[in-house]
Amino acid sequence: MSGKLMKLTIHVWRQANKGAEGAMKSYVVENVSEHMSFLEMMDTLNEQIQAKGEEPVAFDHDCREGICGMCSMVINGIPHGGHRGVTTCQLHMRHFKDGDEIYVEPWRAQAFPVLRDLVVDRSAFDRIIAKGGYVSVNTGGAPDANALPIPKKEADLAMDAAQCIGCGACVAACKNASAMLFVAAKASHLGHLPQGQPEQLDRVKNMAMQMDAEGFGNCSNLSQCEAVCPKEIPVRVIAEFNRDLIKAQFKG
Amino acid sequence: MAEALELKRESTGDTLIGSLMKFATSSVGSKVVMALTGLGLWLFVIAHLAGNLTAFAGKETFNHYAEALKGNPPLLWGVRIALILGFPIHILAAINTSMRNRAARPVAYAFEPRTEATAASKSMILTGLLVLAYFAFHLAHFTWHITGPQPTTLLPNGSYDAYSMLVMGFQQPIISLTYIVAQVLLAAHLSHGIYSLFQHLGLWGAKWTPFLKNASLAIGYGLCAAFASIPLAVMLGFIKP
Repeated sequence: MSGKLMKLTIHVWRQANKGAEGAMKSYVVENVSEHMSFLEMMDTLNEQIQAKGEEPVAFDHDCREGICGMCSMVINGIPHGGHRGVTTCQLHMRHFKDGDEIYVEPWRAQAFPVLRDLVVDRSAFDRIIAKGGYVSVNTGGAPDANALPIPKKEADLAMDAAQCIGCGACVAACKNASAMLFVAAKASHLGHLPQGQPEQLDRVKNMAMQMDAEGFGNCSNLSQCEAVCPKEIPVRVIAEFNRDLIKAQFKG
Repeated sequence: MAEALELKRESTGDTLIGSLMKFATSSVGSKVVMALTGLGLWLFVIAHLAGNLTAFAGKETFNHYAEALKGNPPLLWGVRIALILGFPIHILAAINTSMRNRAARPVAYAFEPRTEATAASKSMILTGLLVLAYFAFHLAHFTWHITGPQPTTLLPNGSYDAYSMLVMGFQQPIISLTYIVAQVLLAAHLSHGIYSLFQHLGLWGAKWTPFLKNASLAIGYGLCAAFASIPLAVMLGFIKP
């Protein structure tokens, strides 16, 4: 890789396993190209750590093209590093300069226990989805896609929310570690479509119940989630979720 | 759908009241409770301000307003009971949510996150507690008459001279200053609270919400300025004894 080469100091959370005590540890990483992604910088760091015979830093990653939601690093206090609409894998090192000190931490939430270093267990999200983030499909022939008219405006609102990749940055950014943006996005995505409407009130009730059971915090309307969301999901979905949940108390 | 049916009232056997009570202690529900009580307290603040501003119309009007209020026990006690219930419920909901919030992030970040969120929105508990502390002092002075300077003589018609008490109180800089500081704290609380309560009640609109964000700032600090105008007017001599 060509381009400017940088030398950086990385302060990273090291934790051997779920039960172990963790701590921040500092490393110097050399030969970081400005064209690298943040994850490639972490790969470079790991190569240099391994060359010294140490354990590399464990972190989640998969598609590296911003669509899978696996990468999950809080970079200098901001999930995914603070560039609008960008996941950690799409964050480029050109945003940093030679000699920078960078703090890299895992998502911090009671509901997201650290498994190792920067890897957290996000299965709490899966359990919330299992409670209502789906539509029940009865057997029979698949209906013709165009047979069900959906207004463009509603389809757009549903698509805004459907972009959620479930990375959990909203939880990591929230001062209360609240999962409201995630949960509400899933409910909004289905609630704006005719296929999701019959079950909407049960859906919000059950998802909210599971969200509480997992130990996420409350929404304080600071919109920190919206600011870091790599898919730029608006806090509108939270208001919709609140409204549906209030309605569900009387109709459910 | 076995799981989803579990919360339906017909399957849990809960009454409507029972299920609403459960909701009121849940994370979203306690915020709804906080929003509703907050809305009530906000409306009280507006009505209270409207009454206070009669001080600008002079001693007679203000005392007439004070007497009319005292002479209308259903209204007076209706509001008092609403406050006696509304305040603790608002605070209990706040305690419930902040305890849950604290438990939700047991390990703090090593790097203090930079955020665009306003200081007011991040210190709702603090401003709320300080306003509450001031509220106790305020009641002791203006309602219970146990602190602050109090007029020694009654009005010719035998009523309490509320106007003189107000002027005598605000002529003392320390009382005026405390009052104004409390109003600024209340304004900070309202500047986030008003926007927030509509969000918790699900009242979102593409045009309405951005307007509301600015409006809650304007309303919060506008109310503060209107309240603070009274002690300032007393100290500057516009409201005379």
